[in-house]
Amino acid sequence: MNFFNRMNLPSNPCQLAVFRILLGFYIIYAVTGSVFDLLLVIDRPLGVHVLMPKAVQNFIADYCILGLRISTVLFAFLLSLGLFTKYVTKILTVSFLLLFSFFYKHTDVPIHWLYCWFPLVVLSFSKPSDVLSLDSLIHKRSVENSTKYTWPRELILAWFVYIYFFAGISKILPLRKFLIWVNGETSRAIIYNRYLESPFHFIFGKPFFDYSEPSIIFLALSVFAVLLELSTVVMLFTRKYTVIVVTSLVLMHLFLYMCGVAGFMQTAFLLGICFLPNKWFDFKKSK
Amino acid sequence: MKNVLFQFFLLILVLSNVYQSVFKYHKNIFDKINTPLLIFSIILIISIFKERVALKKYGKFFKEKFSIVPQKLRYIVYTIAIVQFFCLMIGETYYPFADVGMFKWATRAHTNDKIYSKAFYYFKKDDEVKIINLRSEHTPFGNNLLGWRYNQDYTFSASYHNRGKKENFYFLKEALLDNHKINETDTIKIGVLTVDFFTKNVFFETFNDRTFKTERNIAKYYDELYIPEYLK
Repeated sequence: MNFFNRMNLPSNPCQLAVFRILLGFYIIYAVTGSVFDLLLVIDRPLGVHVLMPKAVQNFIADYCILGLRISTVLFAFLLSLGLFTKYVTKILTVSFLLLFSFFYKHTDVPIHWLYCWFPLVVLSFSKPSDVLSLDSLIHKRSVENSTKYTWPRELILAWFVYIYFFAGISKILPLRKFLIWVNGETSRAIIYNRYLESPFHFIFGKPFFDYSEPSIIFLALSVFAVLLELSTVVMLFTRKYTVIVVTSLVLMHLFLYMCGVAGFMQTAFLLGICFLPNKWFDFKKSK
Repeated sequence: MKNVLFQFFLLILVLSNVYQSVFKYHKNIFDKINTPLLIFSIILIISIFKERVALKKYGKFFKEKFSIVPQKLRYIVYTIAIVQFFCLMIGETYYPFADVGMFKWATRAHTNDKIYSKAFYYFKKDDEVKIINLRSEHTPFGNNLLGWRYNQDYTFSASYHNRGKKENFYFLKEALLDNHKINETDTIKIGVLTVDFFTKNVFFETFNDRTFKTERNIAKYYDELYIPEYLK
């Protein structure tokens, strides 16, 4: 069943609620990190583009970071609790986007914000707090399986596919890039250069083999990574391979984490929650 | 209908490639690799134009299928999609719209050197050398030098983009003091961690004060590690 048809299927609300709770906690984790303190101390922006007037960017950097961090954590916590969700999601989206404009401007890294901002927009227009929330305890509405719990997950899936599929495309087009990718040199560069700062080094203490020489292993890793990223597009057309694709992507990120490229595993797992079979989340029976 | 969708999809891919090839790589438009792709994209444009009736039907189909999504969100999603595809085509990120090209710049490993060295800070505690390998500190395998808030975002920024900055060094020192890992009297020095990929040996060389040679501090991609005044 394809993406369009799936949007019209009713589903139970718990899956979206679980995603809402985890997204809130994930944002708290991202925002409370010390990186913001470091970036404020250094305050040397990189030459990246932010779709915001320069004056606003400077104003945020000079006066608003502490306030934005506090408000983002507060609203993310309310999101997890599911209290005043209708308003909280909208304010949180704005607060999150403003705060991470500063982060991106100083790091040039697509972590956290790229994965989270679109789901936040979608949650702002959906009903993620009909169950497992304080709102549901206060209002005590009866909840039934509905399409209103399906389309937000499908839109988030489309976002996930977009991120990974085009990440795959960007590795193979223009074609001259593809040639360097498939010969495994990029994988080798990542593993070689990051070895001393990788969990593989911290755990095993020595390299498995000579990373200074080209190997079929690097070639296999590169091809596998590109194929896996491209394979995400299948999730738009059928649900059959979703668990396999999402699990493989999380495992790929786990491997990258072990090689010293951290940061993407949690986000892939977080968004992946939305695409798991809905029946796995049927722990609160619909009335 | 499916034909039009497929063509549209291909068109985005092809235009993305052509734009990046021609403008990003500053290559001639008649480059041997790009020319067939450019021709292909022109054929696609003509083909889509010819099937404009089908395209209209497709627009209707799209509207119908998305009717379940609230109208305001629908327009927001359309806008986001257009800007995202624009970013893809020009291969640039305009926050919060990204061209999602993680590791898109294919890199050749610049070296086949068997020896790879990198400078790190260290300090001594009870005569034991504690290497401040920041990237280990956000994992369960570190020396537990920093608190939980010093997550991978911090270690990444401190280890790579800002490793040559004086403020970064003093921020780290403050963090170690706050976590009671060093005292005011302790000195943070610089050592070199080396891996020999041929013998698979990994070893750490410590340097006393001024004996650290700056040529061992050459970084390949990011700045050299900041050397505190008292070590110069």
